[in-house]
Amino acid sequence: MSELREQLRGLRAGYQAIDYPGDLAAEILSDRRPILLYASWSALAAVAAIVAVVLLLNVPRRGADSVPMAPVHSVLADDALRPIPSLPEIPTGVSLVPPSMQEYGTLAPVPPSYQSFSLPAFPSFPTSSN
Amino acid sequence: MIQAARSGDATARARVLAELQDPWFRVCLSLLGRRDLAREATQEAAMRCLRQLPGFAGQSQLRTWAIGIAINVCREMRRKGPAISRPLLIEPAQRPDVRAETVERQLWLRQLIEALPARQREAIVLRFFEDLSLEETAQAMSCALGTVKATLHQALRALRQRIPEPIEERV
Repeated sequence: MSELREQLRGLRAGYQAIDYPGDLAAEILSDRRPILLYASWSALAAVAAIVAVVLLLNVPRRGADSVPMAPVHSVLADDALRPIPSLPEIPTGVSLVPPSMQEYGTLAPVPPSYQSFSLPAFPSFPTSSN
Repeated sequence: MIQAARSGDATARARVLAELQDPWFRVCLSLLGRRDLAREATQEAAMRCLRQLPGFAGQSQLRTWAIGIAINVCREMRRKGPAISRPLLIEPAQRPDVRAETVERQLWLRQLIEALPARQREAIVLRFFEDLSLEETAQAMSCALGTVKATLHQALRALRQRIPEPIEERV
């Protein structure tokens, strides 16, 4: 073994004299774990509360803003854009005065409506004597 | 004991931690240089060890595997934390039979080890202070055996180049 290795071995005595200042098992198994457990549950509850608050604050606004609207198809849109048809032309050469009776000759007499009116016979109703 | 600890037995887990707390703290103190950081790293290594213990395959010694966890914790803390200027806190052995010259040389050697790059310092600590074999050092450092050999070779060469000669040789 070289001199350097011997010197390193010599340092080992001082190194081995170092001890942990306390009882690690007691610190880890009894104290830290409940603290860590408590801390982790507390952190989880805090995060859940924050998420709930954020959701409650954002739900109405988000509902008004982000609910997709159904597309509106206007039936009138096409008709409204259709051009209005032009007015028909007024016929020319037509007399607006009614023609006189002589132009049609004699008309067949029309019998009065009350003379051709006749009521049908009433049906005979059965009687109890038959 | 390991089987019982893996299955969650609290007494066995406490015994595992009691067995590993000193090696963990020594390694962490050697690599981080501050007692508060070393204690924090030791506790973090213990937590990870308990979490990963059910998956421990037993392909290596529990101590080697656990030291590997501490090495990883120290690496993460070095990356995240401020630069540590004096990472090694080994006091030379204060024994009446140790000559003052030897103590002086140990102090000098300690300063040289402190100045090594982190990986070389890890290899020196595990191989010579924790007395792991080359294979165990490679497992703890999560690297290949050849890498550990090369890293140790570089570290020892750097130390030899800087270590002062003995007084009788200098005269």
